[in-house]
Amino acid sequence: MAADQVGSVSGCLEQRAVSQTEDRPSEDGERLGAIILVVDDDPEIRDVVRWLLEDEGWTVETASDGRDALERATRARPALIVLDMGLPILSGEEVARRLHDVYVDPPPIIVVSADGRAGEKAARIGAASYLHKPFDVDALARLVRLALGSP
Amino acid sequence: MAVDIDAVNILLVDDEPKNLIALSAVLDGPDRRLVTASSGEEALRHLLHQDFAVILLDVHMPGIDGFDTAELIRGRERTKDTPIIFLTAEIRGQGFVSRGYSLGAVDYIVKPFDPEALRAKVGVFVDLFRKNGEVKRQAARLADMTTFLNGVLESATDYAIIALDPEGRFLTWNEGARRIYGYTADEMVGKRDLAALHPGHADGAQKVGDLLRTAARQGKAEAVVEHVKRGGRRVPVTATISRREDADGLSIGYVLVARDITAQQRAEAQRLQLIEEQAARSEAEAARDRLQQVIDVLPEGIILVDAAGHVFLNNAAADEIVGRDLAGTSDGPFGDLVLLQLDGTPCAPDEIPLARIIQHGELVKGEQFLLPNATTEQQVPVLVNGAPLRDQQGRLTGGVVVFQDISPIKELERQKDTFLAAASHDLKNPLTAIKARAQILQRQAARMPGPDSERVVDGLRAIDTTATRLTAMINELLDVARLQMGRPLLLDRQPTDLEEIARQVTAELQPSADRHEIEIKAPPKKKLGLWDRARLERVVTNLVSNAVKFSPEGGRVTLVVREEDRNGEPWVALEVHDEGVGIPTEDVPRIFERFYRGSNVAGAIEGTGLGLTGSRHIAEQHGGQLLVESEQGKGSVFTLLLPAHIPVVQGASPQAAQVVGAGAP
Repeated sequence: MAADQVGSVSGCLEQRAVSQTEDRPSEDGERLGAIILVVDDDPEIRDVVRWLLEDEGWTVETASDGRDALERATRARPALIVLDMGLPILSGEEVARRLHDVYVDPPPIIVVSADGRAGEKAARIGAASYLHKPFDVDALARLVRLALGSP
Repeated sequence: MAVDIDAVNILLVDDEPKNLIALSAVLDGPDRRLVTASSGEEALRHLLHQDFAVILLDVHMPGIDGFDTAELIRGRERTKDTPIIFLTAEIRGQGFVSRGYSLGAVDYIVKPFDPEALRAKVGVFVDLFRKNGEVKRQAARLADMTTFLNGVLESATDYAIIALDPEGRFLTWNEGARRIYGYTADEMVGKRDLAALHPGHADGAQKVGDLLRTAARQGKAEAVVEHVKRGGRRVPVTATISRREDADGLSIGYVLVARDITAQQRAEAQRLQLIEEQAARSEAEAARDRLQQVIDVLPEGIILVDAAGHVFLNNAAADEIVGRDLAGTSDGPFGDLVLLQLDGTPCAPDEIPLARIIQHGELVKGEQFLLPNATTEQQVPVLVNGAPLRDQQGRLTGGVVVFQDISPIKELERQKDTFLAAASHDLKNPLTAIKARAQILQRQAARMPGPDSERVVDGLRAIDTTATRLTAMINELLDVARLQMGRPLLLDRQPTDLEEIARQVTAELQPSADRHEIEIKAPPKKKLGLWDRARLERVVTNLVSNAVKFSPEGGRVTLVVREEDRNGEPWVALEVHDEGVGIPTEDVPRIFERFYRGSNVAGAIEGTGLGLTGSRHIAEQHGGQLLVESEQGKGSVFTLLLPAHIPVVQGASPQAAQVVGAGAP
């Protein structure tokens, strides 16, 4: 199991290469280079989501708080952000709001929330979709594919 | 009597000078002046300029004789009544005498005359003349006095002064009477009609009649009565009637003096009113002072406004919450108060509670606003109650608001919400990690070759299922905690089909209820609304599992899903019928209480009793209801009623709504 929490691009690529060769060689070409930013303050969740999405063939970057997320999303535009709402320093809603200052057309967001109001918050920030915690990994995988227009 | 000493004139007419001398000698005296004339012409000349008490006229004179002269004297207005005594030497026949008398002679004296008799006769006429003169002078004086008195009467315009004869006929009617009663002297003098002073006012007529009778009896009577002026206006007067008598004490009539006291009464009434108003004002001020002291003790802010919205009373707490002296610093309506909605948007002028109260008579109950404090510049959360003020006729005269600084309550609520959010976060993150880990490991295990793969996958699925059950329990526990802390549930409203929930719940529960038959009756049409799907699932699960639990002998559990029209609004109803033990009538009102168990099932059937309380809360927070009908021994019907109209959710976007979220919240 991958142990890194913040994750480096090289590490991602390495892992991706493994899953690619073993599981889904056919999707490599399309998914290479599309970075998904996973934001959650819980390291366990970051880790398992990274595992899932890399298993699905995506490149994953992670952030543990709102400011970190905003910095990473500003430095390099992610293709998609899986954004937890209950974040330290800057809330998920605040991150989504500030992304509009950075991008004319910000990256799509999948809202994740533990407070039972994921749908309402997703509607408020104009997210692509949302998940209540705890969520099924298959559902997350499906929403990611949907958001990135991948089969 | 100096006036009377004036000498009176006596005219002596004779053509014989010796006769004139003799007459003069006889008649001369200090109180008379003798004027002599030797012919009729001369006599007439004297008569042109002077008045004479008597004329002694010789009948036989050359030229105009005595008779002719007398005729001329009688012919003149000035002298027609002057007495004439004819002097003659002889009485020649009856015709002579009668001619003289027909010419107004008062006497004949035959010459030679007896001096004493002549003096006596002339003396009578001198006295008569003198007395006549006095009568004339008195008459003239009387006329002057009457004119003078009339002048006095006419200039006493504030007083009606009316003389009445003994029968009550009006003899005089002055200018004052005209002014008070509106009738002229020409209209009234000669009439015998005291009632004319008050037509159509029987009471006033009666009073004046009494007054006249009292005056007749006692000589004088006085009263304040009401007269009626021409045209009908009532005039209060002070009326005095006094009886007048002649020297012998016989009544010659009455004098009525009346004075219009309208102005006086008005002034008096005004004075009394002023005194009353002053008393009322100082009483009101005292009451207001007391009220001010009382309301200043209260911790809630109180503001009273008049119908125009101007603040006329407020207490110290109001000044403190607003942060300025309301009475001293505002001249606009409603104390120039600024209010914001809780989300920070300013209230429009007609949205603030006092405006709604005085404009529409609204009652304001427990509304929350933000009120910027002028001193601290903090936005103070306030809870506002208010009502219109009305007078005894029910007319709106203003409004009152009572408002309370609820910062401490808001702070407590915020702390509770923070705690609940943290609890939710802290409990669900590990669950998320466990489930996700179990699920992804299942994927990996499924790809692993070997006979153990299936067992590993089954084990991981069991962990996942257990974690799902734990999630459901934690969600319910968090809701219970929220309700117990007095915080509303945070609904996650999404387009939701109630019938689909019913089918799903039935499918989940039927396998574990083998003695029951759970069936659904519903027309084939979606029963959609913007509801919190997960929570409604809990409600329906709770109702159906109760129906199973409380019909231990088995039987049919029927779910009816139907649409219902309530005052033109579309609603959806879900009924859960069972054939179980039912609920004793006395327990029905209490079954929604926390932890309450029906008296016929306590101890016999397991359960926490939390379900119905939470279910009703969930229904009510959706704007709906949860109702029950039950008959002991026959079964119960629980009805979940939900408004089906799609409320506009702020910021809702089709993008988010199209993709139905996954995972149990």
